[in-house]
Amino acid sequence: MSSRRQVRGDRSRGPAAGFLTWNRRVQLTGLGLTLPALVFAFALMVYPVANVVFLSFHQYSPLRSAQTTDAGISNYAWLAASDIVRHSIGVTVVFTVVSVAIEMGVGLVLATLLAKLVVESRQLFGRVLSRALLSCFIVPFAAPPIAGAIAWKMLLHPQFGPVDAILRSDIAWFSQFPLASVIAADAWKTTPFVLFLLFAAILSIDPDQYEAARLDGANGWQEFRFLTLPSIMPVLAVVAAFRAVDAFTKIFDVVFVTTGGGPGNDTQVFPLLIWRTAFDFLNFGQASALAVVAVLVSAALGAALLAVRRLSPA
Amino acid sequence: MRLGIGVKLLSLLPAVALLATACSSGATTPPGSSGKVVRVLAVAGPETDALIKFAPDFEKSTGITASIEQVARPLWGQRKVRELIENAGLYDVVMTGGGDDNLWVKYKGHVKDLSKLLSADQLDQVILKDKFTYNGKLVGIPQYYNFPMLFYRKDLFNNPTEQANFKAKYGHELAPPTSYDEMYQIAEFFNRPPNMYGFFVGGVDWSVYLDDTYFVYGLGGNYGDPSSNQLTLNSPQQKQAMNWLVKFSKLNPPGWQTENFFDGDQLVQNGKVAMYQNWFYIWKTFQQKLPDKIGMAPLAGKGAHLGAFVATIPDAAPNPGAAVKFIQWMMSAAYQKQQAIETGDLPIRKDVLQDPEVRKALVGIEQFEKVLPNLQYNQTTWVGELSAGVSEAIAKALKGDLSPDAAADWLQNEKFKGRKAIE
Amino acid sequence: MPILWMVIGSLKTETELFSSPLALPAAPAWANYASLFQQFHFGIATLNSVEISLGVVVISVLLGGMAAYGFSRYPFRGSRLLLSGLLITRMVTPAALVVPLYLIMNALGLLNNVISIILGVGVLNLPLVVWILRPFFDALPREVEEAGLLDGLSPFGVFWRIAVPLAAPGLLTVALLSFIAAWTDLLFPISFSTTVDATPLTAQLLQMQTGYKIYWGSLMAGGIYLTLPTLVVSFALQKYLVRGMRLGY
Repeated sequence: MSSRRQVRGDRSRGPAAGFLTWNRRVQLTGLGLTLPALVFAFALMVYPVANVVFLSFHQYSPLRSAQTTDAGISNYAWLAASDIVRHSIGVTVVFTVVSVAIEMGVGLVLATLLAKLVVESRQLFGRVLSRALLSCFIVPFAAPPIAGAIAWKMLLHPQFGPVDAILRSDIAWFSQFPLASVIAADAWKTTPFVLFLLFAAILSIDPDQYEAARLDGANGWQEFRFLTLPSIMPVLAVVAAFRAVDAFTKIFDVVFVTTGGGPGNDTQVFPLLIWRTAFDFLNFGQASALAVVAVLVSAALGAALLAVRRLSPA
Repeated sequence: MRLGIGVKLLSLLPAVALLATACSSGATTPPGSSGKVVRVLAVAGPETDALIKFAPDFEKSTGITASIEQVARPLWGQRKVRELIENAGLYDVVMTGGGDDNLWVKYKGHVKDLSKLLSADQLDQVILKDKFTYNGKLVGIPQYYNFPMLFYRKDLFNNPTEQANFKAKYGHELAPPTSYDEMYQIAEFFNRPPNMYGFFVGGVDWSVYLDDTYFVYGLGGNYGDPSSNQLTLNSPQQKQAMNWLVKFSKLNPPGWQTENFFDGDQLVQNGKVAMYQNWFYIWKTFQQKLPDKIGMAPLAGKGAHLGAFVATIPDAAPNPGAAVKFIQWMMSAAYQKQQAIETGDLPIRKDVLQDPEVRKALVGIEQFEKVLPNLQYNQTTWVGELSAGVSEAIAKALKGDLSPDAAADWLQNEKFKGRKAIE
Repeated sequence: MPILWMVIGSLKTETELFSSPLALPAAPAWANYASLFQQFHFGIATLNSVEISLGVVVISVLLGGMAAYGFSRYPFRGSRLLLSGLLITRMVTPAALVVPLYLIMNALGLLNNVISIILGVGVLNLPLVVWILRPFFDALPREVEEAGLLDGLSPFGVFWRIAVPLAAPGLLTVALLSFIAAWTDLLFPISFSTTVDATPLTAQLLQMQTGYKIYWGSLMAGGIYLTLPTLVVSFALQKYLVRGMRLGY
């Protein structure tokens, strides 16, 4: 950092105009470059958020009247007392926890195994293997969430889904185990992602450390617990944190396409509840209150993430 | 350097494309071509299929292209509101649901008065026109009439062994039920998992709400009372309906919670369900595919749920002239006859109803005619939210969190506390 | 792989699907794919999807690139704060943002227009873009830029002619990620678009689950159709994808 500042200072005495003007220019250019993006973000994110806060204290339901009437804190009162809201948040939390646990768990195990395979096998085979694996990962990542959701809907269909055909059952998975099915469909898309990141992290551990460990007589499990795990802990923590936040705030597509909220409200995750309150029930006042809560939660989680990130140098 | 120029050029292209889109898709039909297209907002279903199938006749006789858009049910509600309340002005004709949308369209919809736009002799032919009239304003013309009937396994009912066993168990003949008690006995009798189940109720939000309406209207109740502007969600009829619904759902095949009545059709055809209530459009299919197996009877109750797509013309329609022509075609004797024979739904015209060919095609039409005068529709203006609440209450009752009676009370006193029938 | 199943399923006819779930189709039912264009307006929808994706990519790369560079090279007072804010904005629930944006777009008369979708997807994508690009710019050697400055280029010129080409890999990564985000988005189209003219592929696909019946064959075919472009592009630009994923965190 200091070296940079020094360089800039030197330049300031250079062929360009006086010290003050250069600095000014720097500031202006910086502003000029970032301004369009900032204006964009302001207009389309900050302003709408402010708008929604405003709206949350009002009542606007196009189906009833075209007026926006003042409603004080009644929307929030409803929110706090509502069964549905509580249930929805609960569902979303369960989804997040289980989802992330599966993703991290499966991801970690597979990543470790794969890393071992790649490291211990011959050079060329290792590279070919990692290439092939990479291709496998790309498919779930690049597939649009809706396509994945439809694929899973078909897989788990009681009448013609392969899963039931193989198990010789006719369980309607999305009806009887809605949340589990949704988690499965979502995990399919996100686990490869996690797997890849952890895989890369494990591979970046110095192989000499493994040598040393083996010489000390450590077996596979001990290697994992005392060498691999601690080394990638920072990455693990950050990835888990990010995934948790993403799972909580962004789950929508899969649920909308497969269960539409689930039997009754079983899989009505929070983003879906917001959408339905606004676009199905056409109650924008309540939807705004929900949206404000969502934004607050996002902000809190984001701040927490910042803290996590600062603590673990990644 | 190369990249710089490349990026510049590349960024021009989408900008041009964006401009092109802005000009074309954002605007409504430019005035020059307004006579040529009529845009219809419809929801996916067999009746819309019929509309699309016979639209070429309309196009040939008027020279106007019919652009009929089939929207998926979950998105239909939002679109209707956008057109009829927020005046989006994207469609000329908007099909609304006769059983659920009627009240809000009447009280709040920005639609044209069709009594002023259609000829008297055409209007006279329309059956039950008063249901769509409010303060003298005719808000829409129905496309067809449809209502639920009871469908049951005729072959099982006619089987002597079954008859004997039934009589021994319940003390009366095995016949189409005329009361809900009888209906329950029959369902219970034929409930033989896992090969056959006694009844079917579609568990998806709007489907379970529909089943609830069959019971509620059948028992003579409704969801609201416009004259007092109160909700009537825990009236005695509502509570009885809730109780019945819970009882019958216990005799359903697994997976019913995320299925709807269309799935029920499949299940009955596959022999998995012995009896269920459904819109009678399905009668035609049953007759074609399983003539000896399925029988039809009126619902075991007083009232029946009015089913119809109702064609309205939004105030903001870009091409109202074409819209009127479209509706005229839709309500013409020729189309109504084609549609009746094609879909098995009732026509809306008195003369077509008497047409011998139609009467021959619609087997059981006498039974339908008996039900026609008793058709009911939802007496609140916010059915979207209401039906979701109703299915939530039903879910509570089904899980056992609340007794059916308590669920009805919860609906009236807590969930929708302070709400009115007309808001 | 579920996707594989979808491919197989897309080539079966409806009855085959129901009767023999585990078997391969007797003869490929290309009619499913044909129906996409005849019945489900996939032609227009494709055009819309392309427009949306291009729009989002351009906005993201341009605005995001400029902003990332600005943050990297010319930190001004408060830029630190904004960067932290960036992380937080990345966590915003799209469904929450859609509600006010819908009302705003309605007021602007931009509903049922691809522009509203582009703006919506763009603004949610932007934080990620800046987040990924800033380290890219940080890592560029300053000497070349300084040389440019000494040569008399304006700072903006330095950005445009020197930094951008050097950071091309990063920009490509971001372009790819933005493309995927825009091509696969569902929330904004279903909330903003009403008519087919402004509906992209994702929402059109949803229309096949009509609530009346599900056109499974076409649904599968449509899913594959929707997935192919992103798959192809992702495979072609694997390197950048990998880098993007790593830097996203």
